[in-house]
Amino acid sequence: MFRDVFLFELRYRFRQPSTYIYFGILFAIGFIFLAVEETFFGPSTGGKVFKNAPDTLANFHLGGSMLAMFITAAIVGTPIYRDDKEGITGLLYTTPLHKPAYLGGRFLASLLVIWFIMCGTSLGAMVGSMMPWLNPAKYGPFRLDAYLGPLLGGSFVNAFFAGCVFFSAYLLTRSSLVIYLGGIVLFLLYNIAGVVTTNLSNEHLAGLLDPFGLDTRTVVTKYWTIAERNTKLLPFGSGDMLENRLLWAGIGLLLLGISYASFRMGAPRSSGRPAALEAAPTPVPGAGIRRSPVVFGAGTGLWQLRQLTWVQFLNVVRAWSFRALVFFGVVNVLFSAYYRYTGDRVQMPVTYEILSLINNGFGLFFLIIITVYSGELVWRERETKLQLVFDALPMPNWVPFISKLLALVGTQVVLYSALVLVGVGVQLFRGYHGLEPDLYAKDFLLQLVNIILLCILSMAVQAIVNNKYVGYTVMILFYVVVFIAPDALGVHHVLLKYDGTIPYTYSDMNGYGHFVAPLLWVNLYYMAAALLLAVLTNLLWVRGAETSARQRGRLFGQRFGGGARLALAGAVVAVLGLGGYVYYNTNVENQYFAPKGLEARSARTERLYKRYEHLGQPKIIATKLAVDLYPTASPRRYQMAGTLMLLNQESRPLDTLFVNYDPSRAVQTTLTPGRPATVLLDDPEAGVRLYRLGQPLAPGDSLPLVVQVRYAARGFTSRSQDQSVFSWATIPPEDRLTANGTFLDGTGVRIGYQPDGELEEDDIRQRNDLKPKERAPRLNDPSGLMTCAFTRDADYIRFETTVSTDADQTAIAPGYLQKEWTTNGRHYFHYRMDAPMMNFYSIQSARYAVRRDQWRDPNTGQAVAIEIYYHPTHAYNVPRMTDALKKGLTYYTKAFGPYQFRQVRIQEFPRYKSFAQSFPNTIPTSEGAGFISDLRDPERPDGVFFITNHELGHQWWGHQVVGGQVQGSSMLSESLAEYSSLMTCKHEFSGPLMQKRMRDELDQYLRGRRGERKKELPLMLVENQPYIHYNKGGMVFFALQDYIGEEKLNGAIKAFLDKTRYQTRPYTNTAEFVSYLKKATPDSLQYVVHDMFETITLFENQLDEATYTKRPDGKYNVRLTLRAAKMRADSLGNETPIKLADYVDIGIFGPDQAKKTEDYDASGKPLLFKKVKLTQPQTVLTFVVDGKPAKAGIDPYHKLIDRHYMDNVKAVAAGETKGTVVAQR
Amino acid sequence: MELRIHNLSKTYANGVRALNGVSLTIPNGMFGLLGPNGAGKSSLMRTIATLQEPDAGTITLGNIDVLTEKDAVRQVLGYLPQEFGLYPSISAEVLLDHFASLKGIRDGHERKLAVEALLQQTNLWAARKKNLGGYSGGMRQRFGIAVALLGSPQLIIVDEPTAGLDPTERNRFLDLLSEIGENVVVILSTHIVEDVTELCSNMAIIAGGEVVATGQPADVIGELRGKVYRTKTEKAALAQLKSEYEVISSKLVGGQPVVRVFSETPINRIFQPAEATLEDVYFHRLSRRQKPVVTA
Repeated sequence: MFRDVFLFELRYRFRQPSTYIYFGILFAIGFIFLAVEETFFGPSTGGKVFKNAPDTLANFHLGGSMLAMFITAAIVGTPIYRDDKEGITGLLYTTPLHKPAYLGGRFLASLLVIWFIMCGTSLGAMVGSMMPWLNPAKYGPFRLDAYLGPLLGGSFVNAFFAGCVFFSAYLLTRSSLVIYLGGIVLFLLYNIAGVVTTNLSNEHLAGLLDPFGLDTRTVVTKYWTIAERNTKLLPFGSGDMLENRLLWAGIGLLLLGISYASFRMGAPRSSGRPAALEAAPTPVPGAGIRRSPVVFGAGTGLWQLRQLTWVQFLNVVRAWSFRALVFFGVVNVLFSAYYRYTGDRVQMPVTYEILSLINNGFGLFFLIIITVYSGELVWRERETKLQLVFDALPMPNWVPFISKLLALVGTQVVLYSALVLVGVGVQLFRGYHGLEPDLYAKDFLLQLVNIILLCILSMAVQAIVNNKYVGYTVMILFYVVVFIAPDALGVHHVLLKYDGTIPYTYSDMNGYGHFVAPLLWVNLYYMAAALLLAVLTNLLWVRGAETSARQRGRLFGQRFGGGARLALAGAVVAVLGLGGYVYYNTNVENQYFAPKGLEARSARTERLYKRYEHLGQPKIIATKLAVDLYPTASPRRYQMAGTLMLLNQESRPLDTLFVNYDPSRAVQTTLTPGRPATVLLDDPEAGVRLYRLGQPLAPGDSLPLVVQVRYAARGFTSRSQDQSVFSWATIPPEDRLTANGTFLDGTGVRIGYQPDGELEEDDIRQRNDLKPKERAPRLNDPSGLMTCAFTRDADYIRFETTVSTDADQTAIAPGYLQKEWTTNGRHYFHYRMDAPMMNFYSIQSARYAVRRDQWRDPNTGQAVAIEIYYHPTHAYNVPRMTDALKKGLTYYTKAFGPYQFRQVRIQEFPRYKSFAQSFPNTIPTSEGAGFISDLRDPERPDGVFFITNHELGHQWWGHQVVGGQVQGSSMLSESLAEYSSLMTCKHEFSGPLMQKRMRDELDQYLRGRRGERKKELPLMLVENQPYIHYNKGGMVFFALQDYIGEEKLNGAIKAFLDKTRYQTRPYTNTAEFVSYLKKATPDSLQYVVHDMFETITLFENQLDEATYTKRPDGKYNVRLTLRAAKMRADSLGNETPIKLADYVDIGIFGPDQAKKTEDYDASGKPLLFKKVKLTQPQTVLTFVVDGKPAKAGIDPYHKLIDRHYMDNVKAVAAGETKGTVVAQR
Repeated sequence: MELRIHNLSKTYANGVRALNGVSLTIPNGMFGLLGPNGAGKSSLMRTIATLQEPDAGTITLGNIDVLTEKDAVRQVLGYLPQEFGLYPSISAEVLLDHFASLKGIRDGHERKLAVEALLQQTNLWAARKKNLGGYSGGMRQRFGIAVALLGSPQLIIVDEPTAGLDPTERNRFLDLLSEIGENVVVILSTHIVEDVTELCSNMAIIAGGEVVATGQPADVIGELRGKVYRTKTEKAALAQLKSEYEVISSKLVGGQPVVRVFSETPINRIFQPAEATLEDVYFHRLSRRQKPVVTA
């Protein structure tokens, strides 16, 4: 019996074309995944990670099987539904078929089919990886197990588990909609797990919670090095991954069991009780049938539309399934809010924060819901078999389609509104009362457009494809093309991405600002495309019994009358017109570059001009600018006019001047050398101009270069989402000059060839016919040491500027304000710096509030003015910033030496990027980098204090000491600024908070290694790699001050600073710095400097066992069994064990004192804390302590770099201490 | 108003020829469309009801071209398909009101009256607040006819409405149909001869996608008048009888076959003359179509 059912189902599925369509789709996705150059699905791939790296393949299989959930639902969710729908259950259930055979046969056969379909992913990927056009350097050796593991442990388990959910959902509810509701719930769980992952201490929970295992993989592999990612298989059979798989497979089985037990072989319960039979008919004799007047024309169509829409809307909204969905959505928002507000980096719940809470991660949520409900609505009549009655009703053709569309949109509006209300609730609960209804309304409008676009698309797909399940799959394909892999598939331009993301950032300072135009026009263009889709859908709408392509074509012809032609023509005109306007803005007014176009441009510049890299050039020694900002004019514009004074510091006369300028169309640059010169070459594409000076510039002679730079915003651009956080350099010009919150960082004019713009990654260089290159010149490169790390065309300069702006705005630039006045409704500010500074200046302007304060050097009595310029509603942390600056100034002047300026200022700028940057006496800080941080809970790390002092530290590290253009220079600026800030934190915050801070550094460093794209280097050779110069640098210096003492380390640093302050040509390097460290370090600890600065050294420290016994004298014996190992890693993370002879912290602690202390942390009072020299892989230590021990650990504060830091600390258990204490170490 | 069907043909994608040159003229009043299962009745009715496209042929209703002016047809159409479902979790009253508005009864009061009247006439009044999921087959069928009768349809198509109804339900249903006025075209398709005999003023027999007879029932019967004979026989003798005579039908009465035979010439030895019925015509036509009788 079982066999018959099983084989029947198999045969049924394998006769359906849809089975092969699904297989083909997954095969195609797998194929594309490996056969195109770009990687999609998952962050930080590429570089040295093979495209077919086991880690990448595992992620792909897990993600792919999540997206294939729709297919799983169609295959495994529907067999019993099909029997019910086709009405053959009556026949089936009356045969001697038993429940186990029936359900088992159907389920197992479906499972086999979905497993077959899932194999498409792997097969496609395997075939894709063998294509002849691939770059072999990007692919590792073919390994079958790298495909099979994720296929079995990932795709198959996910299909099994999801299949159980779908199958059970139908058995339990006998509703086809609920099958998909189950899918949405799974997706929300994944979403929640994703939110949970953001919190380090909840990772294990997150790993368990994600039904698809994606987050589990993230957690398990988060510290994998490049080498591991390329060679190690994701361990499906152990640890978190196994737990996750067992948990969810178990839940699947459990659900299956429950539904099996509750299922009875009978018709689905009908929703109403049978109506009682009534008495014999009592027809009204001779009355005839009532003939009611009907009205057609005269707006009846619209009237019917309203009636029908309302009924369809209520039908969805009143169903418990929809309420369940709203409930789950609300739960999801609450979960996200909970984790967001219990995490470490909490922001004030300003409205845009709340909106991001609601909108983030809901893109796919809404897409799935809309997809499912559009299927429900389109197929509603056909599934109740009412379609013949319904379709013969006297409605105009468009009424059914439009009414369903409106009903669908309506339901999504209800759902979204519910989420927004919850958001408002969260906002109020978090104690924020500055509600901004208008902002909610504007965001709602944007979301509404998004909802409408998706609704129309999914209805169109359902109507045109005319197969519910294939329609669902088409929507997933749409999602892959437009949201997951557009760039990999070459879909870059906004015009090509229907309902694609239009990158914009709302900022409290600047509102929607200059994003209004692209949002408006691109959305209008998408809406026009939607209109076109709607017209076509209406013409192809299935009405009646005809579904063959030929007959639908015929009906299309019939319906394609005057009105339809007009609508179609209107839609086409709208698409072309609006599309044309968008194109005009993005490609004519502005220059459009696909990513490859940008690469090609860089490559071209390099090929043409790299030969001038070592051409002697004069350096800028003074900059004097008049800057006029028109931030609220139309178009927004600015003008910079002034003189760059160039000096020949070479030993030979110079006859050629190499000038770079901004090549974007919106920027016009006029250059006038101060002596007769002919233009040898002008290349507006690269922004390069070469002058031959009429009379060569003699050594020591100077030449003024008069520059005039004009920018006027030109329409809008097709932006790509820019992920980099740190640099203002990559930000498009339209984000620099904004109505409220301008931030310019230079004229764009630079002297000499600029290698910074060169392509870096080897394979990208290769595909642009360039040879591989090193990322930075070597540590002692002589010409590198003659060049400043920050600006190749200047050393220290004199700087002066006059900035004019709108009357109500304040303009700020480096230097001291000389004069401020208003003329002709324009506000002028004249700044001059009276000391040499880096050629590194910001020009900011906004409607600021300002807080002024002062700090006085306790030793010299010299005063430093403190000014914080902030957006009036962002006053939250301004006092904290002031406090931080004061404490920083105190510590830094004492430890390192005097502050070189008489003033320090912080200015807020819009959160188009989230960073703070230190310019001379000027620190622009993003709205998103401290101004709205929520510091109300003193138990949480204070990021504002930390960032502020990091940037203040740069006034020493970067502005007093600068390295050359060689390896390691970013350590001199960033690691030292990080260390400086950490030291102020050390004296400001309690132990547990500091532990958190340092844990964060360790975590970031270890994650950073995973994302390395070229090679990891030891700290002193760092090549501008943030995870090394910030996070490893912070750890290393913090550990070093612990090993050799804070005073001693600061003394060495001060000596180095005294020696190298303002030193140029040659610039200093880290070799010189490390020599100061070595001088200050005792012989016994020289190895520490070597480990930390000159090599990549890691530890595997672990506390195996910790027990205590109480002694008669009231003290305690504690016995610790430790393991320790030390490794060296190469640039890709391959580790080699080395001999251990290291001093490591051993700590024994009283009960935890911080409220939320993790198991693997100790926040109690140290009963014993000392460095012990460990030489053996395993060591047993015994100690006597005075108080009752609660926890103990090896390197408990994580000063050493240890990838498995969670096994360092353990609770101390009561136990037998064997023997007596022989020796106390 | 008169419905004219001319030379209508339809072949489905799977090769089944559903309609083959069907021509009919259907005047006002009740028109019975008689035919066995699979004869093409439903295809024909769906085509008239604007839900299906023929491969060839024309249909006109008065001045309306049914095949292209679908909206105009739908405005005067009442259609009850052979098989249909209803939203299970909604009451009859609400759904009927919903359909009434979609049928163009915009006036709220009118709609209320129409719904009430039809619920009473279809005898669903007592159950009007019950969810349709709990309705019996007969009640659903009556609800369906209520939908078809909403508004003021000029063309009412009911496709096999009595199939599967018990005799009481069937009677109720036919009573209801008979209430429909004379000035409306009503097409009733059925494979039950009594339905036509009892109700219809005009009829056609359709088989294998072709019209095999059409006219008023009396005329159609007329062609067999005086040519039908009946007898009781033994089961064993049935085969022989069938080979010797043109047997129209055989039925078991009390376990014994009663055979009706067609004969142009009187055969009174073992047979008794019988009154010709529509059923005789129906079976006669069907059997002739299936195995053309060679009459020498």
